[in-house]
Amino acid sequence: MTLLEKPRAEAGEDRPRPRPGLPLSTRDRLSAIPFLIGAVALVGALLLVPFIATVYQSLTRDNGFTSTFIGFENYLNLLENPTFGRSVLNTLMWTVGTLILPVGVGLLIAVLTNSVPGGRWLKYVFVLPYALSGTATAVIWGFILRSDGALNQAIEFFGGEASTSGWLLSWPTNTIVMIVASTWQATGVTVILFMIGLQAIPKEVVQAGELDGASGPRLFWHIILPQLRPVTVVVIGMSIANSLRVFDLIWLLTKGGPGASSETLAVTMYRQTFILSDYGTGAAVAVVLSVIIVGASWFYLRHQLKRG
Amino acid sequence: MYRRYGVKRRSLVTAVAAGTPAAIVLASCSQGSSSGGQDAGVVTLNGDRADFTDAYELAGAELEKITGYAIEPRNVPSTENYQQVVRSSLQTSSTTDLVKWWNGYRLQDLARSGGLADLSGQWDSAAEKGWVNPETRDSFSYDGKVYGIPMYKSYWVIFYNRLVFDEVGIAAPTTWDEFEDNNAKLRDAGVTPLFATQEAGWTSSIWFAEILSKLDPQFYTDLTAGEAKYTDATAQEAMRIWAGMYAEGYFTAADVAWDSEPSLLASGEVAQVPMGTWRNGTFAEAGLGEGEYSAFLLPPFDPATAPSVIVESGSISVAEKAPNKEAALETMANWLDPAVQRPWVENIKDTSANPQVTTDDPVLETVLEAVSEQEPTELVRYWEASPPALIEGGVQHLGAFMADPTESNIMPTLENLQSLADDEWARWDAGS
Amino acid sequence: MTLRIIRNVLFYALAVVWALPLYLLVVNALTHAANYGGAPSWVPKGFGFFDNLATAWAESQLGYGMLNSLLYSSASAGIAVLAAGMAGFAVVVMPTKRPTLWFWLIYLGTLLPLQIFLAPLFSSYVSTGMYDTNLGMILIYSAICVPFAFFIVRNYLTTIPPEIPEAAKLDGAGWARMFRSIHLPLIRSSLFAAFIFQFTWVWNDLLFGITLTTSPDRRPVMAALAEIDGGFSSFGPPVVLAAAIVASLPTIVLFLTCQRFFVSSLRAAR
Repeated sequence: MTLLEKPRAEAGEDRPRPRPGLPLSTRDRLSAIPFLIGAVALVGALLLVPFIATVYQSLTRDNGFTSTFIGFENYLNLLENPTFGRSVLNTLMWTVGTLILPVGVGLLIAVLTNSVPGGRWLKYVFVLPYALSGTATAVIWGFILRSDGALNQAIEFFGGEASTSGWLLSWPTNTIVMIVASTWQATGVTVILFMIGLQAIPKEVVQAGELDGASGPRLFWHIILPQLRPVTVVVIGMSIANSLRVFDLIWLLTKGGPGASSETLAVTMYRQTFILSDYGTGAAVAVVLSVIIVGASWFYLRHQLKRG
Repeated sequence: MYRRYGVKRRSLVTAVAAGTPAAIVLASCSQGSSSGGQDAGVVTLNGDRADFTDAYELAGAELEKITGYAIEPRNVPSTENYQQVVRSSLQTSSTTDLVKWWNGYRLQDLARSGGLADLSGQWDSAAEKGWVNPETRDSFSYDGKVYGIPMYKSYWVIFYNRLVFDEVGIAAPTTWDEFEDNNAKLRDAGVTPLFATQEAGWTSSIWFAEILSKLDPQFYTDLTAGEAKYTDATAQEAMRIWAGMYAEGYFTAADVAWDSEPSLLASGEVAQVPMGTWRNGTFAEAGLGEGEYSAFLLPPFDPATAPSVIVESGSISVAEKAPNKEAALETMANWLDPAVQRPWVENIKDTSANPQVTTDDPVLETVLEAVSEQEPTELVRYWEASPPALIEGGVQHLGAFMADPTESNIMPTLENLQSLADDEWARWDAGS
Repeated sequence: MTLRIIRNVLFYALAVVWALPLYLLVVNALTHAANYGGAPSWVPKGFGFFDNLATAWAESQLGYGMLNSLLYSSASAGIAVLAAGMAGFAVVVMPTKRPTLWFWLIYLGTLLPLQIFLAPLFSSYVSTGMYDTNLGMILIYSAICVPFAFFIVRNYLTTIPPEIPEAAKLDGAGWARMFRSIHLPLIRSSLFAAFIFQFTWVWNDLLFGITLTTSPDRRPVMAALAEIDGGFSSFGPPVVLAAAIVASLPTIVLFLTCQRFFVSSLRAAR
């Protein structure tokens, strides 16, 4: 796609400045090109071209040294692979979990911050983890979740029976606790985005609602929430993309194990490519994953963009 | 509000607006110090071990006296990314002269791509001088030619905390029964006898390989070579021994962090740790003083079985397209020279592949004494002993077993392993 | 009343849940590496923070890493935000043909799994001499940052009443002048939000840092930290955590200062 767009954009730039007599619309249409070129060139050259290379690679048998074209064989093999099914299921769990937890908790915190005593300061507790690196987050949550970790220590301290099977050792517990860990880190950004959205709501709208007798949950549901729509689109759009691509935390905490039980599609792709050096299969997983993300995003944003 | 932040905002806007082009100008195209224009007097070496950097430079200083070329180390601090970097650069002129790799099937995998230079001459002359054990040639060869020179020689032993052993009143075992007896006493004293984790992925192969090789070294060799089956009786027996030890409560939880292993041994929480001698230095740094820890070779399961020890050695190869290939070959010809090996192994705290190089590290001395006394058969480590894809898939199955180490999980695990082995051996033989 | 109590209790309970991991992070970073017993502790064992940090600083050349990351994060986030702002303007305000197509073309960049870029980028960087250069790092980070920044800015632009550009158009302002003097000030707050998110993202990136650079004087901070993390290093979790805290300070400071700033500027713009 970029290959087609680029020459056009360049041609636009080379054109002499449109003469005043030209119809406004044509001139305006061309004048958009200098505004678009930066973003399109960066994304096109550095992200979309490598992606096209990956699509081609998914049709080959490639060990990093030699490659032969084999058509759709890699895709057919995926269908027979039991790990792939588990991986799709985990990815689905991550997406649902991420849409509920960080988005829900973030909205709750952003809304309550101003009405709870001390909330203005306590909100930093929710924001700070977002500034931490993935490695630090993984070390901390490893501390908490491992069998000899802080969670089991605390459970035993309070007289409970620590989980013997280990939080990270059996499915689906391992995926669920990692979603919680990811929520801990990711909520900061949703809190901030929702706060921006809340600040942008005109005071008059809220006051008008209050005059109509709305208060508490009803005010929130009927007046505030609809006003938050533009920022909600951003938050949900972001959550869809991030949850489907989740990799770092899983890789650092369980490497997708034990026995591939906590693998997501991004981890499967990484394993195939980097660990097994099966570049073709890795690329095929990458393409499947990309299609899912683009499809989900398109499905969600299609209406939102129109309404916006 | 607006007024209060007005000035600040404008200055921030200006800062971003002015900073961006300035940053672009600053960001010249020049490459970093380790990859810029290459000095003719050095050979570059790429690896995945940041902690080896000093040792490479020390060895390089000695090599420079002999060959005139020093070593300039680079590293990619992630083994996975490192392997990919080597794969994508080996056949281009952007490769480093020397490449750290693994011996056995991992080396063969790289060698058969045609990206490595033939080091048979260098090996043979080193073997003539007695600098390397000629019997290990196979694990550095592909198709009869040598493609790697050993970096070090690590014996897989059981490190143990001597203070804990003294407290419980036990000594390093000389038979399997003594080993089991020690474990029971340690457990009863409230100490976890043995470290085991599947957390780092590859670590789940450690106990499987140790137990199997002590049970039947020949079967271990056959199995890893694809000439025996995971479902055979001997493999089942090894798994039953392993599951039995789990049932006795001898092992740490399967998700303990591998990074914590040195601290756990040092603090006495865990009494014994199976590990290659390359980790010796790490235990010392974790706070175990001289005499506070030592190591023994795990005895054979049956006293009648011949003693064996698993041996691991990284390898260094020369890229076929190395920019400084002559110098790189020259460097490899002298890598095993005792003058080079002495400062190298002293820094990495491991044993040299050159049998003439001795060590004054007390723990390593103990290991070498045991080796010369028992003359165990040297076995290739599981990690390098089969095609890489088989090992990487295999450790997943073994890791899953460690998460559920029950009698009933033995056969499903072995069946998974065997069906993986069938697939991967077929792929390997097909050359893909 | 009961509702308020439930609400407050819920908020405080969540705050405690969020604070506990942070507490463990600090406590274990304070523990002297030599006193670390292999399992996390709830109370600090000795005060070894600065010793831990000194180890990390010396072993990973953290200082270099932080300077490099400062350059990469500010330059890339700056470039990306500027490019995204202009593209958002073109798609939303200007009568561009097929705005949806342009939207997806750019937004696609944030939907692709990042790991797939590593191999192709490594090869092409090596062959174009961009491997291990500042320029190479700034370019890839800019590219990755554009799509999401574009998404934020675009959505914000749609909330600006169309009468404003129409009035300016009647005044005879060109597109460039209109962007500079009308829209840029209006979308400033969303640009800052995007800048901060992207700065943080670049600062915390490890993947591209370890793949596309190799020299300490080009390597970003997280790649430098990776040298002391992981099983092969012997420094232990306290050192890693102490280093992680210091490495996160710039993003934390940026967050705490700018968060207050863009929230209030947004209020003022209304």
